[in-house]
Amino acid sequence: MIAADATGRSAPSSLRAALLGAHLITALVLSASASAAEPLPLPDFERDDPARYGRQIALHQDRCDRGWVDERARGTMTLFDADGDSVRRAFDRFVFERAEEGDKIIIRFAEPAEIKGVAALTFERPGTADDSWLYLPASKRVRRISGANNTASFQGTEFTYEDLGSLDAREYDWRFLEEAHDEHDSGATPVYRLEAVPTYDDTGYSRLVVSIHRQAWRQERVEYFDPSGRLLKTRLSRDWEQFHGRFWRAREIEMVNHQTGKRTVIELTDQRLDLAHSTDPRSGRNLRPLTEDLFTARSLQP
Amino acid sequence: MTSQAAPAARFAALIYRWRWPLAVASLLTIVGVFMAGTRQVGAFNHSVRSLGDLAGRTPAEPPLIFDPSLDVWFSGLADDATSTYYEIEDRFVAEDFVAVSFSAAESPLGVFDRSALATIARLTEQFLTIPGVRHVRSLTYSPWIRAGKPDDLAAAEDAAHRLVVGDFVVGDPQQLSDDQLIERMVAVLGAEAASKRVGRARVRDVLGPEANFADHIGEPSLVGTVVDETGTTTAIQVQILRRNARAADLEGAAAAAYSTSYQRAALRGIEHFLRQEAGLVVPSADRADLVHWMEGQEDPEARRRMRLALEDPRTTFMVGPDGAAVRKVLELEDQGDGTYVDVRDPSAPVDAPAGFVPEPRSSFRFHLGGQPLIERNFEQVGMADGGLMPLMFLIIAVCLAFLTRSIVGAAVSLTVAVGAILATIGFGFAKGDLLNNMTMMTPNLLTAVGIADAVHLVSAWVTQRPHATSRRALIEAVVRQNAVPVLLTSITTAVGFCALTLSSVRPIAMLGTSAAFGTLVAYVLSMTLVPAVLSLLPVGSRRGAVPHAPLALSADRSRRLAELIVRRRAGIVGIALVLVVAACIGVARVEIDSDTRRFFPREDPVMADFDWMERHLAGGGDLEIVFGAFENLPPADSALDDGALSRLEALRTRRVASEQGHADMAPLGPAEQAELAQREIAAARAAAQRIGVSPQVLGELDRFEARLREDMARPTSPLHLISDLISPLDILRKMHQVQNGGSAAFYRVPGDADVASTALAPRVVRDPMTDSLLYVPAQSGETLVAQYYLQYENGARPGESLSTQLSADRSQIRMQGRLGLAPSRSHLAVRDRIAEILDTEFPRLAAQAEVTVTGRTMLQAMTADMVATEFLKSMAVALAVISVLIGLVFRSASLAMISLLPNTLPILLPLSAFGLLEIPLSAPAAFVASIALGVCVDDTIHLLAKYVAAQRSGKVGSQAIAEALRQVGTPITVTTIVLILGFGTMLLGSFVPNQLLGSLAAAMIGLAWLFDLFLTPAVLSYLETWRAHRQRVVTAPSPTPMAHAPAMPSGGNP
Repeated sequence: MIAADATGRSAPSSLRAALLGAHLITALVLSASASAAEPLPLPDFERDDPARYGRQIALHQDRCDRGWVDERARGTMTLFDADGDSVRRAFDRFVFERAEEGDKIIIRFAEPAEIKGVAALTFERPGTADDSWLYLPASKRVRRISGANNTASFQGTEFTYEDLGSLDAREYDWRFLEEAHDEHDSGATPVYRLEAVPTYDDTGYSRLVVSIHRQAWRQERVEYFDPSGRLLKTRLSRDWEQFHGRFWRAREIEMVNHQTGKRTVIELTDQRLDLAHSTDPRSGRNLRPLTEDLFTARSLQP
Repeated sequence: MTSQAAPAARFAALIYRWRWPLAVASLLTIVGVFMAGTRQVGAFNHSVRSLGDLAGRTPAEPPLIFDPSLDVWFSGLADDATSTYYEIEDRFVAEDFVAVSFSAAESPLGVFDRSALATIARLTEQFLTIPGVRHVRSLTYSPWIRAGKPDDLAAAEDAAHRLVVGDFVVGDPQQLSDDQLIERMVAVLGAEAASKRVGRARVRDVLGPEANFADHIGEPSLVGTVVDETGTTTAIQVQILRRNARAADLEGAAAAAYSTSYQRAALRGIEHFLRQEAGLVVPSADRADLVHWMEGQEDPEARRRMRLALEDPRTTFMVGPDGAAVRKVLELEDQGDGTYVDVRDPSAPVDAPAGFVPEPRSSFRFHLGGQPLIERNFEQVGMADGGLMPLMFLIIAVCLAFLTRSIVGAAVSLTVAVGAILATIGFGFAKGDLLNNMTMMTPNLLTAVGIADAVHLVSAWVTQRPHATSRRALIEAVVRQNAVPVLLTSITTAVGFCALTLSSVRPIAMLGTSAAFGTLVAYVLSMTLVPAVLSLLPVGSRRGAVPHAPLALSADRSRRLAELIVRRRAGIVGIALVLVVAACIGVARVEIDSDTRRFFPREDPVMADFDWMERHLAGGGDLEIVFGAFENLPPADSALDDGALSRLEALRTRRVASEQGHADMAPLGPAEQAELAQREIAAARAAAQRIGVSPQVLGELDRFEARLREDMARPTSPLHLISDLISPLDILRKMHQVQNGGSAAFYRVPGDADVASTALAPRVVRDPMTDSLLYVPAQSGETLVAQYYLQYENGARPGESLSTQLSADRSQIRMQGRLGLAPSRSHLAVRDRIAEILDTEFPRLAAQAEVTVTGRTMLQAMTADMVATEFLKSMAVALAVISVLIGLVFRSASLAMISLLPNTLPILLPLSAFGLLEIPLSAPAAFVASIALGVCVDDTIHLLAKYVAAQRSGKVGSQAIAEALRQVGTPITVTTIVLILGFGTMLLGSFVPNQLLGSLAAAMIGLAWLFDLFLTPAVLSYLETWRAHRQRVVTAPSPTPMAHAPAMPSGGNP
């Protein structure tokens, strides 16, 4: 049964998702990591209670991905239709980590040329509607966006805003399902399989099944079930890279819609976390860290 | 017995000796083929049903053997419209909609009334839980994008600059104030239309004194489909996926069955919720036990699965504790007399609980529309028509027994028919085909054919039995006389069917193949089983008197008839020639048509709902106008791949940076400048493919759309049939308006003039995020459009997404309309008119984009168009082959020529009636002609065979004719009656094309009988006179008049 003490708030979240998938950062790419050097101490798992156990695993995974300060990456999204034809878009992403208030995110499109420069700023607000601003270079206007649907498609991809959100452990009722091995090309991954039932209103799903790597504490796979309880989509993260001996990032994330046969692949390159401690491969110097004052509407229109 | 007859005699002896092994072998083969077919059906039924998401089958539900999908009618076509249609299905999404519609005429706010909105919201939410439903469009669940402030924010300081994205109704509609309801009415219908409903003052009240009514234009993509212009009628449009069968590794019929069953299950889910709305769903007696059992499960996963099964709206049963199906709910329907019966499982009807009175949740009366309903109607009507088979058998059996005075003869004839039917159905299934509305007729056709074969043997046996000396002599004589004529008639019939296989309309080709196969099976059974069974019965006159078949022509009557014909031959042939001329005129004027509405009886409830919806809202058919970029450009990829793009950007950055005087960027050298120029050209060519963001193309498209609307408003235009038109332009204009503060002046396609002037030139700026130089390309109308689309794509639900209207690579634009159900020529006129407007008034648009008019409704209409030419083709082929066959067998070109007249006239006459009376002929029915030809020609062949044999035995003139008439009179009369009855039972069916086919075939066969009894002898008599005259001229007397046209082994009666 679902834990009665779950603090999952019934988020008002109809307005939760912000425009332009600023959340892209969070869940998609950031699946947390345990520090190889100094692993976080495991909580005292209550294995007898699947609800508490599941929640503990989810929260621990969440905690493992804290402290990366800031992040930037370049990415492409490729949209495949049922026939396998595809189109590609490229973007740059900048994130400023804020532990409790929610991250600040800028996404800026780079390709195709006609949308180059379209940029979105999002302030994540856990438990309430995020704040979003969008800049269109053709009109040179920044517009504040209200009330976008959580269940809306991100960019016409198979991702919705909800999928992009950080899968905040507090917004779900959790249940431990099993310890399993996910088979894939490069071998088998030991995972915890958890069920997550959204406790907020504006959701497109009846439940999620999340597979968390048992050693690396990262989300390997998420299965999304539609309101009728049928499998709708599967998200697979692959090609993991570890930063600073702690934080895991997938270089490739694929979302497959089983009902329409369409899929979207996000590939990330040049990822850097904790920029002050990362070196620029070209200059060999440390990168300039992102500061919170960069995350304003002004920065959207350089 | 002549030497030519010897093979027939040997054949007859052989048949007699081996009759039992042959009969048993034939029957075993038929059983084998049937079993193979059912195994195949069983296998794919298993594979289809084992796919876990296909729920909803009651225990008593029969296997899937019927393919009602409309695709089957046009999937074989190979033209642009068809290939474009399947391309957009792949590219966008393969689905159909079911519209659930109702009117709220009593309420002053119409469908914007609280209770109507609450009903819409409730049903929308319920429909979204049905597996297979991709999306629901309704008044409460459609995007509302506007400038200003959202309801839940108090006067925010930046309200004017906000873009608000939401649903029209969030939360409980009962909580909305009157003002909020009117605000939504204005947002959907526009201020003017809302004023008509509630008065200008009231609208002004809500919008505020400053508001400009013209700025509130409403939501054009909803008006016409989701709500009518007056706000009285609404539809909840449920998008049901046509499940991609490829994903389940299914092909052919299994894929079709899977796809259809999946969609059908979703349709049941919709009906479940509507019945629930009407208070007609009640828990079954067992439901409490099921819930108890479910709640007692330890394993949460098992409990979850059970809850899903228990609440699945598509099923009334679920697997209970002991593995058997247990009824969850009763879905009741009023029987018209105040009693309620469960409708989901007609095999075991369950009555409503005593004293049941429905308690509806709302008072609205719902109407359903959409292709899935038509398809289901096709299946239900088709299967119901199949249920007429036993009645047909009974009528034929009684009639046969009466006409031949032999119960065994009637029984064995029916056995031949049934054997042919089983073998054919098995053969079709084994090939991987399912039945469809066309092949559902195969049993009727084969009954006619099989009985016609057997009756010739039975009839000869009945006539000769009293005089026979031994069973062996009798059976051998019967086989000897009939083996070749029956073979020949079987072949000609099969040729008639085979001609159908030339059709590219698959159901027609399938009918041709299977019926041709069945015809040959019927021949084999007639020549093996019939002799074997008849040989069991005693011979000789039992009761002293010769039992006379009621329709037998006595020698005397035949003679008088023959003399009459010869005497009046000029008149007979004269009338025939007049008829030929009339028929030709009539046939030339025949209009082939396939109006879905006319496929069903007038009172059909499904079609009545369609009519209602067309009267109140939009047409039930679809229309797709697809604008695609010409693909004569070099592959866009080469200019757009990673390396090329980043190189282009690097070069551009340096050029602009040096122009702007950035010191840290080296200016381009001459080689690099040349390279940049080259790359710019390649990029521009790649960009030309993106017509979906080109302001020039979109501007033309905008004017084109307006032009179409102008025509749509004119009752005399073919386009009047289009009831709604949506395109990505609706979104684009809306975004532009909203971005500019909601002023109606901006409800248009944006262009270069709308771009910020400071953004027109490319720039290089320092990126505050990375502290490096950033290239900002020149902005234009094109980039503005692309950016608006990008913005919209981020606000819409996946179902509403722009990606169903504009391809992700922006090279394909989809304009979608709704078409009223109408005759196919009206639909084709829509296509032609659109092409005409495009070619004559929009040459620039036609030059910029490849335009295809398609959609399932259009493809269906094109099928009808194609049938017209294919019908002529199949007729011509069948006629030619049959004439050549007759010429070869009788070794006489003149007989082949003569046979044309009695063979074609009975077919042309009924068809010409349609032309002369200007009644359109439904496409499937047109094909009756080549079927009937194959059957009609049988009479002629039998008559010619007996006539030639009579001449060979020395009879001339009316004597030969009398002899032929005496021999064939009874069997062709009996077969004609049986065939008319066989086809006549189709009149009792509900599928109108089959009714028409049945009556046409009956008319043709009846006419064939008439012409063969009167016209053929008259023409033969002329032929004999002409030959005799010619022989006198050449003075080369021959021993018999027909020595060169001999050889029909048609042993006369003893």
